[in-house]
Amino acid sequence: MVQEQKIVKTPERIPLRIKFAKRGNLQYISHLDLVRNFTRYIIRSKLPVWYTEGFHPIPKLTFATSLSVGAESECEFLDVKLLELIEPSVIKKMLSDVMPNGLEILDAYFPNTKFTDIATSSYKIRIHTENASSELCDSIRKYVNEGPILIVKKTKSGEREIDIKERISAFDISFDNGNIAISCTLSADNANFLNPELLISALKARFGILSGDISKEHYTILRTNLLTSEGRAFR
Amino acid sequence: MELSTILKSVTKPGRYCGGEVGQVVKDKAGVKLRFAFCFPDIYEIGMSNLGMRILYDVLNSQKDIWCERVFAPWIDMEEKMREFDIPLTALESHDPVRSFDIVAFSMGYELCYTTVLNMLDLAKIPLRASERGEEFPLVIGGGACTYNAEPIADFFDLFSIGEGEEVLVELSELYISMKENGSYTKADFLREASHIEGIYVPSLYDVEYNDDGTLKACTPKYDDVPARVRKRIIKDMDKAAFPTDPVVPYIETVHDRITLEVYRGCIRGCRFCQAGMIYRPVREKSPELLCEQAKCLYENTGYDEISLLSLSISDYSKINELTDGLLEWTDEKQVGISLPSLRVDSFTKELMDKVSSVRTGGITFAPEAGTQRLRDAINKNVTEEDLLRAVGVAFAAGKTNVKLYFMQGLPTEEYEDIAGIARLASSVIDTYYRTPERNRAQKPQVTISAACFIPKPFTPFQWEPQDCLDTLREKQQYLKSQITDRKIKYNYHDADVSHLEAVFARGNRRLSAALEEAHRQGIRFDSWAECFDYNKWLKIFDKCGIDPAFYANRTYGQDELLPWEVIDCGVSREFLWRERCRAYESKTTPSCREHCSGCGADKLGGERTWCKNKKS
Repeated sequence: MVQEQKIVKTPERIPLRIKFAKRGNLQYISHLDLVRNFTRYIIRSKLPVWYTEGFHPIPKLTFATSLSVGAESECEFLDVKLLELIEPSVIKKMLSDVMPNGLEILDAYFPNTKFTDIATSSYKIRIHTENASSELCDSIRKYVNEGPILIVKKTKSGEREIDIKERISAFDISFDNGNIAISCTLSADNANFLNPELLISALKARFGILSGDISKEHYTILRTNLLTSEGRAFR
Repeated sequence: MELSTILKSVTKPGRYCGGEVGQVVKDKAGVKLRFAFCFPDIYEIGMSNLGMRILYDVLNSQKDIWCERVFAPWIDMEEKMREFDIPLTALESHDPVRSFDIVAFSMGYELCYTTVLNMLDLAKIPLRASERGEEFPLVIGGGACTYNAEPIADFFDLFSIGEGEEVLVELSELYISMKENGSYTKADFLREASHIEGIYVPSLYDVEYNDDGTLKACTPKYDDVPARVRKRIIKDMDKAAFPTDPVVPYIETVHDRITLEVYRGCIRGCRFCQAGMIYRPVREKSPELLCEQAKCLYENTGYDEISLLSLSISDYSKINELTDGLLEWTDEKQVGISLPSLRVDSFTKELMDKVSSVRTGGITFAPEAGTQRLRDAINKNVTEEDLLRAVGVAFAAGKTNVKLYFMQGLPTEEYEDIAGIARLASSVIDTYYRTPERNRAQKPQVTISAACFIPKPFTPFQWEPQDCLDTLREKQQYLKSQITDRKIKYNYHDADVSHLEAVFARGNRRLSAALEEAHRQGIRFDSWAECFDYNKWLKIFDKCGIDPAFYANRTYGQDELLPWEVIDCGVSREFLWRERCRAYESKTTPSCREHCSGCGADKLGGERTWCKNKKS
């Protein structure tokens, strides 16, 4: 529980940033489910946060990015507004005490950046396929480095073909222990967000891998970092 | 093949991963009984089921028992499971259900039977009790369907009739002690279990039929097996186990809120309603206890809505104390209160002001029948005045959408009663225009939702036939033709689903052949539109030599032995027949609060009940 001497009541709403990891069982829930669940965890933690206004007030949470179902992350951010000044170490404990397995609170602090500073996101992708070989990796590396990488994007007015090459700022691939290991950095700002799933579907289409027999081929995605336009870790 | 790989290839993997906040994980080496609690539908439906939540908590509070949850995998997951030979597993441990000691199914409606069989099959457990040797778990059943479990009797080792909080613990203790002292064999255990009040062991009865297909006798094989199995109830609801730290699902379920059970039973005695009869006698919980439980649940879950659960919430004798007690903290914490099952005749402005569920969205009432004559016949003691007054309150508060629930095919129904439904809806629209404070920015909308009547065991209408399918469909079209106002919408589902429900609701053991054949043909999830196939069922009944109309559309004889009478639900046959006769005279029966009509349930006892009104 919160200790009395660490709380100072102030009239302003104090921005608080929470950094957390989403792994294990939590990878199977959608972003919307995460928002819903996190709202409940905040209530259970008894952290005094600002609520939305309107007919059905709930704690106001703002997430930096979303994550597809099936992807894990060591680098997720959430902003709330505190109604009282509480020491970060106490906040971290209040939150950690109510988190399920799979959601780990990595840090809680008062930020001086905005989510709009986020430019890119780095990922580690592992593809397990029977056709894996270093030759295949070389072909993929060439394809990605040269481009174009065309994918079909569904829009409200129909379908469009877009080239996602310029949304990939770094791409490294190696043949490792029978698997294909990719480290890449993809655009993560709102206008040009590149979901790693789209990159994988481009590779699927081009190289015929991950054709659907999940006993022979499957992949994992891990978001490892969020970066600013200068390439520094976002905080 | 790893679970995680499969999970990423199916929809809503959050249904299958487990690990939720509130789940109970024990050391399997440290417990003496592993209990697999199976709900025969998908995760989102089962996780909203209060009975399961209560029993999960009760069983896990016993240090020797570990109870885990099992739900039916959706069809895409089932396909993968069969393709990769993955058996049905429990959520907490991911261990195969086959390895548990007791596998229990909670069955609330008859259309889940094929899903039960499918789950047994996926668990690689033989379907028929007679085919299961000592190496398989015990398969037991509970829930509302056990009041007539005859159609599925051949698949189960035993049924728990009534409220399971105490009897399941007793059953488990018997199991553990017999295993420990070496006296356990399945047959000996079942024989001993039949002595526990509320336990029905179908294999210990001989069933004989008359030439015309009606039941001749259902006789215990031995003297120590009871001729009728009396249901169990929890006498004092304040002392009943109630989970305050439930499992909180990650994904969205049907009811993402705190469910507070306020009382059991119902004083009204509507003649079509099975729940109102089988949960008698009425037993209330104290408002102070409820407020405490609500607070605990809020702190442990973070849900922002409390739903007060009961068959008729406004009949709770302490409703004002309860709502006032909750409002002391719920408003401040931004938690809403929801009152489903609100009777028309108790809907007032002050209730509306207190309760958030009625502040937002539309409002729902259940008049059930279109004319006073028919409402009297079904004992739904609600007048047109009551309804119009209630909708008037809603309209004056700014609401424009009203939903009205009705039933079609009720006993004594005439076409003028059906026309009455349309007329009632029109009167509601008229009331809107006569309400000066109404919300003029939107047009009013009345939605009529009409279900088909299904005769259910242990109701005054248990002898009544369901209208045949053509008649039900004709009546639906007739009602449609009576509605001419664009502001009135009419929702209905094809009556064929209701027909199947009626067959199994009043069925006997001969139906097990049809269930087995249906399973063999891959049928499950009958309550889901994408899976239900009526024509397939007709062919199956034909193949098994079963006439479904015998069960659904026949008037059962006054002196006929009913398949479900091996169970004693507390309410007497004489009372039910009396009520049936009154229905045909369009005479009403007052509520338990006003006058005791001698249903017989008072013999079961109970605290905070209305039965003290009974004249001795």
